[in-house]
Amino acid sequence: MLRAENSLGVVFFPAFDWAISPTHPEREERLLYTLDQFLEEGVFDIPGITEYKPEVAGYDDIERVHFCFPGADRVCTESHLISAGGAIRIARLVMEGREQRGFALVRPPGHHAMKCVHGTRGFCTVNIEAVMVEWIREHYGPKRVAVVDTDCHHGDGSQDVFWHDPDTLYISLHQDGRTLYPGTGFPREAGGPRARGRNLNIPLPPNTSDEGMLMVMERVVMPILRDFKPDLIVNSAGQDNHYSDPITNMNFSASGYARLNEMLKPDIAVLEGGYAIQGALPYVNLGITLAMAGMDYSRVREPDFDPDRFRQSAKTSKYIAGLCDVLPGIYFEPEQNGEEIRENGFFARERDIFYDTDSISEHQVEKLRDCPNCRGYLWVQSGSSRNSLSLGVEIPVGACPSCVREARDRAEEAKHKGTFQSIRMIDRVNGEYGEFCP
Amino acid sequence: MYIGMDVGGTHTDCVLVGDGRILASAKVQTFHDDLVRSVRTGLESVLVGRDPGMVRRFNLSTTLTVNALVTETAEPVGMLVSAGPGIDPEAYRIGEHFFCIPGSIDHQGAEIAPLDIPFLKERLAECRSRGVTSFAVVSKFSIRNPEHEQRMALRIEGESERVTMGHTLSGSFNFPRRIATAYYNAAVQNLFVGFLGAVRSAMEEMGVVAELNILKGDGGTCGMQQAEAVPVQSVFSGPAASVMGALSLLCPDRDGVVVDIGGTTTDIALLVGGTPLLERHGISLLGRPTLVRALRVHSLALGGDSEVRIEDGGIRVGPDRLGPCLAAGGPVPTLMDALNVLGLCSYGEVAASRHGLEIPARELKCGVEHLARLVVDRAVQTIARAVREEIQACNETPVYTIHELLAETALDPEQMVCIGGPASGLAGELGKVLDLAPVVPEHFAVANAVGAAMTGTTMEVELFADTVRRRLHVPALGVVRTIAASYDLKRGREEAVQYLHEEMAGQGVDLLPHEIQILQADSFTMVEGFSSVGRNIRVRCQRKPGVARVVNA
Repeated sequence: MLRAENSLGVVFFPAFDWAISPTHPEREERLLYTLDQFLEEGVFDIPGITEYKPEVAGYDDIERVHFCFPGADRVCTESHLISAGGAIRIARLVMEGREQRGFALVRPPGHHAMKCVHGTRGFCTVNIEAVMVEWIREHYGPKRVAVVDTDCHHGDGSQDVFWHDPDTLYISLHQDGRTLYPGTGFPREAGGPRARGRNLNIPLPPNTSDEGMLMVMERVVMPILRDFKPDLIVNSAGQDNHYSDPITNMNFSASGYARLNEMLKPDIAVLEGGYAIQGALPYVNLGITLAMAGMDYSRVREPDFDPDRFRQSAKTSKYIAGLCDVLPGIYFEPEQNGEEIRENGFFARERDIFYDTDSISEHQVEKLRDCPNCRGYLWVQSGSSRNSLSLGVEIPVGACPSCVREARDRAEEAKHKGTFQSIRMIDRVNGEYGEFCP
Repeated sequence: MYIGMDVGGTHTDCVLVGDGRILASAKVQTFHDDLVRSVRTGLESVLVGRDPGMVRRFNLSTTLTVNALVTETAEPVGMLVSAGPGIDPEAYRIGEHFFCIPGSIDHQGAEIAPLDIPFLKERLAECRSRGVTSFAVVSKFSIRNPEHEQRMALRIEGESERVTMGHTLSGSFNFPRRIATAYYNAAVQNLFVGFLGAVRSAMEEMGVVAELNILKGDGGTCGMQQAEAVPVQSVFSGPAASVMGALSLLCPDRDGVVVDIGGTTTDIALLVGGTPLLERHGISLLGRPTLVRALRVHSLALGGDSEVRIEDGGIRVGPDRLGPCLAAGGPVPTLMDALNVLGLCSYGEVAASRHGLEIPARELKCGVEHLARLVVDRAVQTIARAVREEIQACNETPVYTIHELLAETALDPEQMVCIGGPASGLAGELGKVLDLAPVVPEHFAVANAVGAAMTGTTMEVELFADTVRRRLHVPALGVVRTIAASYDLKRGREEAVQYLHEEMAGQGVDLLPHEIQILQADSFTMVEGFSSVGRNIRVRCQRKPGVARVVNA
């Protein structure tokens, strides 16, 4: 008889009544055929695999991670609260020990949502993995977390949210940013001054196949994970590296994705992108689910899959082998100099960010307090075509008393001056999230 | 006049109903080796002094199917399965003659690999050489495209053999369940057809010319033709009949709980707006999930005959049953004896109950009444907890739309019906704990037979339409048709209901609007590139399980 080797909780929430627009890739139909496949395969009847309902995340859960301008209730719809709530439900099941591992098959996705949120970019509004990770830390204390993002697009949102966090290792495998949205995700983007080497980008050339991806897993990702020794491994399980995906140029297969999961052994996987809804998603999701449950996935294959057709060229293999030689150094021997400028006791950087889905342009100046005793508080001044100049202040977990005091004093002063349209506070020491009330 | 009969594990219960009143009831022994004799005895008992020709309907619930499967007296089945990519179908091997035939259909109903006919022929020859004459054929995604099942069946029919095709059993997804369902159906079909024939003969001999219906696990009935084609639907009709009996005696129209307290177990069923809840995908049979529609009944190992024991200075009630209660000559004190002591019941020899409970009372250094009180409280608490857990479990059922997730539709029972032997003694206490006013119907002892008599025919119809492929399917009815590109959800709803009407009319039922329930009605825009190319429409509707009201007479 069939049986899951390790217990697996699955939140399956296809949101059959939500779309960005009727023909947008992120539409009602997206997980329909995956659900058909799961039901036909009897996945939820397999002893050890259990289906759960998502919970609905609170605005607090969102604003523990994001500066939402002008407020979480203005940028999130119910769909985002449920999608994030689905990830939280899975985390709760795993952390309570009710399930050994979990897979949140939810939509909409989240890995392009950055620290500041003025609207939706890359189909994402809130970063559901980050919301989940910080929910875990809020309820279960400090945890070392590795987030491995296997979506075809660089997870620029996750990179941004975790940029200054030395306790989160973020690794993104994606199609080279020179050939695909969002155009970022290069190895030199290696993490903030207090978390250097904790952000690792692995840009893969177009037409990379299973072989290349698995080589990178074996030679780059796994050795780094063994060294980092995370308490929790999260897979941002995007599926648009698939050979049939309509908006990318990679050649991964369902069995490749399953093998990747078998190697990675994530505690939690959260669905990200993937828009070949008929030809890929039903098979990729099935492969990932079986692999996560420790079951045989060798017979899961796309009806039209022909490994010879999708074999990568020798040139591609050589290029990827070259990446495997140099990329581990970013984690093991990080460079101390980054793009930020050191000024008046702060690390500062200035950026323009474009929200393709909502056509919003954002300009921000981000400053991290250069503190000898803690990670330092974060001070972000951000204005966009939707909101005039606003302020976000984050006091991180473990901030020293002087950073807490200084950040709050300065925020209060800013509030009196009335310079900002709104001030959002993430105070992890005092547990205050959202609109700043001194 | 209607007759309802439940041929159960130990007793056969039977009632005669006329003008909405119970005219006669009987409880006779079940003869496992000769179920027809039980049926005949039951009929004779309620028809004493009456004209058998006046009976218009005879609804029969029987454990025949389950018994045959449990005792392995069912027939050997040639199980032919075609799957393709996905989980290895070998994992679902069932019976001695299980064969995987190359061939595959995808989730859209497109053929990926043709059926290997020469291979199929070889496997069939092998089955026949082993003397197999009953067959079941199942292919993955056959509800999207039944061609492979039909082609396999074509090779079998015509040699005086029976074959069950998976897609005719249910329009729901789930390949492994379809395999198990088809297998069990084929295994009991000959037996069931023979039994129905014998029952008909017995009825004729007795002058009963009534229409014969068979009870299903979903609490409804089906006619002879359906019963012969899909006998597996009759499993677990007994517990369902009890739930329907509780409904027919009360006609509740709001959320509620039915608690059926028997000798060994207590069964809990929930009602939403007066309609009993069904298992989400189907009931499990011999440890295998199936697609057989059935009422969701949670069974708890606690009943009137549950043993009362002192263990580590505390009281234990159940889960064992070592025999009937002391009051009925049993070996050990039970919950029923405690109810007798407290005067909540007066069953059998009440003095024996009191006498028997004195020993454990001495052990606990308390009075007999005090001990009996502790026992009853423990039992009530256990049942109440199970009821609460069942309500919570139902409210945790996954949904797939934001609307359903956020809508305030949590199940919140406002009423409770208690049936079964010890019910009169426990209902009041249970009601207090659950804050529900309990109702204990008078005829609870034959509630199952009343339910059988008063329930109606049920049926579910699933319709799929794909306007890109221009195809419409109603799997269970074998309908496959071409549709216009303009086909929409409104048409789909209308047609699904129309098919339901026709099918019910075929079984002699005039479907009323309030009996129709649309279970699902979705239309998904199908997109290719970045433009809409058509719609994927799914409609499921059913005639709700329901009963005619009966007055306590």
